[in-house]
Amino acid sequence: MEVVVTQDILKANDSIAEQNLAAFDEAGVYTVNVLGSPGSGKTTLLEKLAEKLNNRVKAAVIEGDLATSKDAERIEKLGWPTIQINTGGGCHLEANMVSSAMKNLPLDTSNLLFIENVGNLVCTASHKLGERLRIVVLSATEGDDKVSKYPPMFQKTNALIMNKADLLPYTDFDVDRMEEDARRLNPDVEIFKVSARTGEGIAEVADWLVAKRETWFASR
Amino acid sequence: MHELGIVEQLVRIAVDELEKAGAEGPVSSVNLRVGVMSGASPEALRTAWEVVVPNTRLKGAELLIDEPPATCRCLECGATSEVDGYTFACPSCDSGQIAIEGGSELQLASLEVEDS
Repeated sequence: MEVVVTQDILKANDSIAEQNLAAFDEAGVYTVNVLGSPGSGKTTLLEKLAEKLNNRVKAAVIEGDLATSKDAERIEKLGWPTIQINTGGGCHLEANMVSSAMKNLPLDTSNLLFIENVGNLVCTASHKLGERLRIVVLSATEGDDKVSKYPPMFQKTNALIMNKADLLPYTDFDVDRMEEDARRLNPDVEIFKVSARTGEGIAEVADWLVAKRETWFASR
Repeated sequence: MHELGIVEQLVRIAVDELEKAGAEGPVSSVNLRVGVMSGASPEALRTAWEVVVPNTRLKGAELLIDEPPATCRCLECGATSEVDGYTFACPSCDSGQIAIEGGSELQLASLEVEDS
């Protein structure tokens, strides 16, 4: 006999992600999943964003890495409550890890949560965590071809943050080609060109995040 | 790493569904749909299958993987087409304004069960 199932295998993760989303909505916390390769500048971007966001939002951070609490230590210095998740060998965060971590964050006094995912352009794309927004950080030194080589990541993101713009003169990175590839996969994607090192473009990203959060908050 | 977790999850879903269907015989095949853009590798799934499945209710079953292609719907001409590789333009009118629709499936489609 044939047993017809037709069930998404990641459904268990997705349903926990939906519960997380409901809990974040209830607490009035707008949640942003921060994705990108190791070394693309995710943590440095958060450090620079803090300078522009600190008077406008009350942020908290979940940091995901295989090992160490190095990133959490960097973020805590910004005055943002931070929880480090170590995945052991795991290549991505899963929704259940976020649901445990969020219990240790002061959600009642926060209104914006960044979840910095494990550095990885592949399977982090297929695991929802309960976020309202996804941003992918892609740096100049990685090459413009990463967009077309890792399509699911760029297809599912709300914004593409092209980082290390200060290094563009020293690379063959073609910003136009990156934009064209990104819009082919994802016509509505927001694209920002920034340098988390010099601060170029960071204010625009901060303004966009605040506007997205406000629009969401007003529509709840 | 990632595929091991997928196969473990797949086994859990299959065991539940077999119970619900009241199917008690040995499972002869498990049919998966793994889209080319799902982020999962069929080869790695087969390797993980060899590790996980011998100790489960699915022991002895054959793993059959269907790999649906990426498909797109053109936002300009409305055509739905298969996308060849990762060259993302509408094959009908060459517009770059397309929405990717198929190819991200990661799904347990069905189970074939022998009589008990």
